[in-house]
Amino acid sequence: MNYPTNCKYTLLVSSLPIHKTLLFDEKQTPLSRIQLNKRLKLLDKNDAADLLKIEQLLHWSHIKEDINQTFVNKTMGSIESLSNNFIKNIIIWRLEIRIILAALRMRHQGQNTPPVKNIFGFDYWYFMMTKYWHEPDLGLGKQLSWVAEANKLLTENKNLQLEKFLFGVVWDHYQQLSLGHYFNFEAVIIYVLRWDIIDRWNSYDNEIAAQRFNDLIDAELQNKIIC
Amino acid sequence: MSDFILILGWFGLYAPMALGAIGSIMGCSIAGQAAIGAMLDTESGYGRYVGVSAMPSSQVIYGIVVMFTLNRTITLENAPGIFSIGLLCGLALLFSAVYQGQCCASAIHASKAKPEIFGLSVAPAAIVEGFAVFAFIFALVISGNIP
Repeated sequence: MNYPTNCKYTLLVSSLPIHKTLLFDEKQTPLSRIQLNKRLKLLDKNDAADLLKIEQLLHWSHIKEDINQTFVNKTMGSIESLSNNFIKNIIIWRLEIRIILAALRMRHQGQNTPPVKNIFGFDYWYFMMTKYWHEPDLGLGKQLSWVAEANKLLTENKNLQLEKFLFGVVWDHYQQLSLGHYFNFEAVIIYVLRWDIIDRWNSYDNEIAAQRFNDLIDAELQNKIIC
Repeated sequence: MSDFILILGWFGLYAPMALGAIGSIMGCSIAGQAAIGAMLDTESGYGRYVGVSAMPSSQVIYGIVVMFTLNRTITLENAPGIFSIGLLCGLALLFSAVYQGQCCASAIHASKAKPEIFGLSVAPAAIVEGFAVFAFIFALVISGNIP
């Protein structure tokens, strides 16, 4: 069915349950992926393709290749093929977070010199990172206030807190971007990306729960064997 | 030239009605789509969503009243006045209806998550309606001076 563009997005956005303001108040995704996909069928072909591309670029589960120059070129090509600058900027921002975090991790693992340029893919922060490699915030603290806190958590080996902190940073960024986008494609994109964050965060909990469940079963079985 | 002025007079006579109708069509459509979307996500309150989505329909009524008030034999003396008042009033009604529709859509979207804010969330749409009423009332007032 072809809806006029404005009405279509009004219908689509209104049909989606509203996210809570704080990420960690969300105990589960507001609707299932099946339901979300059903609603997203209202997107036209090009928008649906763009959404798929974004998810493929950002989800680790879609990254099955080795990360090398070919992969970086392919990713850059995919980003360039997007027509919407708003979406491009979101992807670049997310990938930059990963690059900076990768640099922090490399340094934390004892790498004394910054890696070669082409591994980064984006060179926006490369100059700063190489120049201030030994600074706790890689010299990015003024522009990106989260880097210092992320580094602190990383050096203290608080991995879960680090993950939680980064989810919070991304969530807040999306919250900020969502201002001014209420019933348009950008609003849908932000909604889906926030849905993904909730899903990932809750999946982490599920993994922990499943592990705990298995541990309890093992412990119980061992008790029975001993008895 | 005189024919052209008379045409403008007829244009101005029908403009508030036509532009008001266009605005109401667009506004009700935007708010209506939001109401339908909200119905997919909620289990109750459908009636009030549809009720709110009908708010931008008032502009076409104002347009009809202004049209009847302006309705008289079009002459070279009164055509410019009818054109000016009719067109400007029609544009005000058109834009108010569209933006009221957007306000209604936001009210519907917000109140489905927090039903307790329903009344307050409609206030911005009511304020927009107020501006449409200004355009309507003063079109009536000023049309009294047209010969």
